Amino acid sequence: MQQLGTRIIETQRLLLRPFRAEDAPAMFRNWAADPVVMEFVTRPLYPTEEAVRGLLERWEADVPNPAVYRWAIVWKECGEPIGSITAIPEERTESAEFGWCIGKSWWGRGIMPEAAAAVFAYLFDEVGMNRLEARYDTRNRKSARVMQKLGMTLEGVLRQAGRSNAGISDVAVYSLLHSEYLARGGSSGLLTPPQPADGTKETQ
Amino acid sequence: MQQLGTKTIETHRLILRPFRAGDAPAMFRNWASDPVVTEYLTWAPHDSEQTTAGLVANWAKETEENPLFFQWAIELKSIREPIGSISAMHVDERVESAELGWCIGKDWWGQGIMPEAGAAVIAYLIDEVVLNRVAARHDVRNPKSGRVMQKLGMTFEGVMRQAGVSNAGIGDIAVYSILRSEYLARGGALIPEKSCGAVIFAERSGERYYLVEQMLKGHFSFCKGHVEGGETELETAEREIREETALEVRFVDGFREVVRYSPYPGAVKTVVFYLAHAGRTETAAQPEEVKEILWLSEADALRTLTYDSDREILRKAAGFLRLQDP
Repeated sequence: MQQLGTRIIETQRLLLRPFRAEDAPAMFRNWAADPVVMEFVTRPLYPTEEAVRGLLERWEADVPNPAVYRWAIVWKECGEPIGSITAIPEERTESAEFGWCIGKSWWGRGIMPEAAAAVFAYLFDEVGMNRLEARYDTRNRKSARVMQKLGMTLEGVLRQAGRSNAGISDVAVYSLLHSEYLARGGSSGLLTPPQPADGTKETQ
Repeated sequence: MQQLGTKTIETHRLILRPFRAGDAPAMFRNWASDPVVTEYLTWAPHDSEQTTAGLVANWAKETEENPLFFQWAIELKSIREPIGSISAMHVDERVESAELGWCIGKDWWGQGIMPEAGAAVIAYLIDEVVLNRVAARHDVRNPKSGRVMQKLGMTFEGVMRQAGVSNAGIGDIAVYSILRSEYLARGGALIPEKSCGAVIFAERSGERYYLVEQMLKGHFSFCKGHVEGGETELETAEREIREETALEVRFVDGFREVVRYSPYPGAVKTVVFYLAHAGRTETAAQPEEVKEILWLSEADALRTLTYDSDREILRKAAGFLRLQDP
């Protein structure tokens, strides 16, 4: 694998691009200070626009680092960031762990699956990763649905292994392997359910 | 949680203690240079004692300076040398959790040493460091490690596919953990050990004599031993009597006494005693375990037995027999 960093990716409704300090007002308004959005996030809430700006200045400084994968999710229609998606890579195992969040005005429209599918394709096809992992607090059902839409497999629940703004929690671990991604037809097949060749439904 | 670092812990056969400079030769010889031991570990076998010495020096320094550093040498008392190591890594103060990692020289595999060390470390981490979750993970191609986790009462949580890299390459990783609540529910005892034996008596000229063994280790006690395979309690007692004394006995109905004690932190030993009548008193002591076999009166046996728990069992057995006397 080859670390390529945060490249700009465009999808049908979204532009995924590196954060910059000027995103502070939008990030503050759209999600970073919203306790509902942040409930199951491990990072604390950002109480002021100034605090958000401080964070974004650090993130902007990180952008040239090829081992940093952190995108602002820009809703093309309004032209401003409405959420974030981050992958933390581990070179030894050619894997990465995901974190994401999105303002609640944009929930329920398939935006997270659309963003994640595009980032998955980039990390598998271009960076050459083998395993992409996402974890969620088991109380956060919405996040589970995103992982299921992406065709990820539930591997287990690590009991009392995480702490979010909602406190100590059980953590479900999902992953998608490169081989599974290819079997689903790569980037084009990620968001469509796999069709078994013999027409029978696969059971586990 | 309490930042207590690597404190020395003693168990039945082991001393778990911080590494020190002089450990490098034994560590290199006993496990760190062995590719069989490191097959499923993330570090390559050491090619020279200098490599080991550098690492040991580093660990000794960390132990001094860092109260969140947990890395023990597993010293086997009988040879006074480290034969492996056990550590708690990824200490997370926010979730009060840590992950165990261990390795041990292959000459000492299959002797229950890792469960003994692991039980003591888990007890320390939960009781004293006050962690809430202790996890462990192993490459699924290395099921021996998984069996240790099962013996420690840890719960299997899942397999992270292709999530680990060791000297054996990319592997699927099984994750286990034990929570504080589970540990407490087990009474803090992770490893149950069960032995069975008997108070053996014979009758000569209207007097009762009790069989007391002097063990090679020096103490005086009754004939007993570990339950093996799928044995029933009586089968174990019968086999131990045959092996240790070569006696033929008949068990007396209605007597069964249980003693529990903790031979080392994290373990609880249960011993079940039956009562057995020997027709003949000729014995042959098992040389690997028993130094001498004595037939003693109740009073002499009470004076000779080393442990109070054994004396208590003898009093109960003698009382039981007296009640049955005509």
